[in-house]
Amino acid sequence: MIAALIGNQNCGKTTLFNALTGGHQRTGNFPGVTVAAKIGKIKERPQWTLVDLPGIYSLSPYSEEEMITRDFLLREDIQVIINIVDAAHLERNLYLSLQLMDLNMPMIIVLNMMDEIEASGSVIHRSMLEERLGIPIAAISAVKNTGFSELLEKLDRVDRAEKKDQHPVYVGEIAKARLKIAALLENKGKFADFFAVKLLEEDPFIRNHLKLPPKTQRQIEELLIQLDETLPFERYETIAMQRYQWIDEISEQCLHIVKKKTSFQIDKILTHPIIGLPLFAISIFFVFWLSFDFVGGTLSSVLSAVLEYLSQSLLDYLTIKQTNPLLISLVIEGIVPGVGSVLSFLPIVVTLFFNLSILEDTGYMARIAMMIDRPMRAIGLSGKSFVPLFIGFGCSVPAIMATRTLPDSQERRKTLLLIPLMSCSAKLPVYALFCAAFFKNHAVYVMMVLYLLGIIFALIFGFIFRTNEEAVPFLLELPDYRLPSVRNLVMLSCEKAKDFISKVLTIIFLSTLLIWFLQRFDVHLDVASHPQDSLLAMIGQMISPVFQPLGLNDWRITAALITGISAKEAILSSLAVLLNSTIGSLAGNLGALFTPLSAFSFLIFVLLYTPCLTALRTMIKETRSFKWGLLLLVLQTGFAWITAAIVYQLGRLLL
Amino acid sequence: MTLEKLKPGECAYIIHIGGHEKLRRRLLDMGLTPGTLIVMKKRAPLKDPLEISVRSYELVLRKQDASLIEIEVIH
Repeated sequence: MIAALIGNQNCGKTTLFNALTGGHQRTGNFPGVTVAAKIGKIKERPQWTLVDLPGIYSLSPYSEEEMITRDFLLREDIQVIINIVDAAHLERNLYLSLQLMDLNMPMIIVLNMMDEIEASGSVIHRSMLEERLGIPIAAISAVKNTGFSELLEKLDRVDRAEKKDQHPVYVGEIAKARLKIAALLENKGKFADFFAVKLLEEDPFIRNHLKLPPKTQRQIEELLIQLDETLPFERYETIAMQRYQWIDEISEQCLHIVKKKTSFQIDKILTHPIIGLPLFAISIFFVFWLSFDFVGGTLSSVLSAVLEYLSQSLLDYLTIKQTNPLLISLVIEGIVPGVGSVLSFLPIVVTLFFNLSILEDTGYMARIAMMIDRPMRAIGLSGKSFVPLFIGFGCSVPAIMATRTLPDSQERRKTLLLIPLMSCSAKLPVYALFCAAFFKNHAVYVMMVLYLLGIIFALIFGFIFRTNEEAVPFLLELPDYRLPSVRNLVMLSCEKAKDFISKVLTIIFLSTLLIWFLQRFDVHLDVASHPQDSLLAMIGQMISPVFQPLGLNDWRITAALITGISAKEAILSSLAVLLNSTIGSLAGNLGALFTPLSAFSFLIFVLLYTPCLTALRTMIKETRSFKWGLLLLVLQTGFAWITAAIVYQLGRLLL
Repeated sequence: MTLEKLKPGECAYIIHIGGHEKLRRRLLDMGLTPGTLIVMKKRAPLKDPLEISVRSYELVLRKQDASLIEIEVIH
């Protein structure tokens, strides 16, 4: 049995999902809906599968996410809708609930954040609200873990719950017209009422979806014309007004909300006319400093030392046991340094994700979007595209998926184009190692230059591709400031750590094996006496002339860059194998291949060249265009080559 | 008068929402229906967009879009 979890953005949907499923989720694809919705079994009611759908405000088709949710509800066989609402912002949240109620499906409303309601001295008369809505209500606090047993009880009884009459939402001529249209749509099953409302709203997608016979279409057309003559306001406006009027009435009877002042006061500082923007810059700096240096960086060197020690012990053990030298080579020169050199960056990646989600969960990200909207407009984007771009610093894949929140397809495409320019955390190990090896005293600065270069290129691209069309409406809700839920943060970090480790053990492991094999054997599949005779050297030497103008002359660099297409971390693991290094000695050995200048040109190339295969695949899936993915691959790699060549040649002239 | 001219701290009722269909419908969905009370909270550090309080939540919108919302100031 399927339960669909639906609610506004920022009402605690993900927290509830994680709490109910115990975090044991997987990503599932549903046919007909191109969405990777999170699904999971409800821990204490395993017969229920919970689907976490994108956060939306309305069932109108104005953004990709609303379309996704709507399609899902109409097409899939769903037994219950769990509509989660933010109790502190009940008025606006109920607007979505009213539209969901039009679907005539079993439904439970979950009042979330009850702890905040109680703490602020607000009151919600639940039984009265339940009676008015005609829908079972459960009151919970997803963060504090309270009220779940009540929710589960309501879920158990959901198919047996008697259908209660709700207080009618639509009145007057609208109500009459709705009944008439619903009668004409009788053969459309349980959704007739919903379709009737959507036809009243002039929803073009529903009209096409229904494929009504011409006669019925004419009848509806006439009905609507008659209706319009009687209405003082435009039809959509009237419907919205009636819904909100109904909500107002109910709120007056059932709610007594005391507004908190804390958010307002925090905002006074964080979005202050003068210090607001500097504070934003400082917080971004702080996030990166914590991830790359203070916490992530420190833990990373500890882990690296531990791995180094383990690898040494393993070598000693294998030598004592007199293992086959080829096997020792495979383990000690292949797998261990390849996998280990990447694995040691786990703390940095996890810390970065941890910090990014703190910014998001506290509500500060929305303020950043507000403050940055003005400058973003210069390149034809809005403050909202800042969020996916920023997530791009973590990983392009969730960033690409986050562009679904953008209501405008033009803006979405453009944001997608710019995301790969945000240095993702997979490139980070490469940057970190090279900076440590070649720019010792200025490592953090060179790192920041790389990040900045990506941003500057994004600005230039954005400017080139800006459109003259009218700006997209930019509407953004500012959530209240909240302390992030520790459980959510820990869960997310564990998830990211798991993702990273499984990537290391699969893609990186395989590419390490492949590189080791190719550089160990020659064309006759005999063990190569010199690395120069190996298969890999042959392939690399064929391609390396291409990289000559970039100052990258060695076939080993070419080989590493090619493996980097599968995952950027593979660049490191390949170099580790090819340079015959241990985890600790890799940085020192890089001097054999690079000068500081060619190292910098290499880093620029890594910054700009093709997104990894997973990102390309996500891009193709999200844009539903193979051409787009291919174009991105070719354009970016070409652009990376040109830029790195310019940097290297200029550097040679100047230095 | 239109919304973008409202000063921080001032209140007003919505009279009419103009503009193209997409924006208009979105604003209506977000609860900016005729007759609704709005409070102007503040401007972003770069003077644009604006933050208003409506139906007990905070909404950010651009000056350009706010200029399509006709209001009546409450004194």
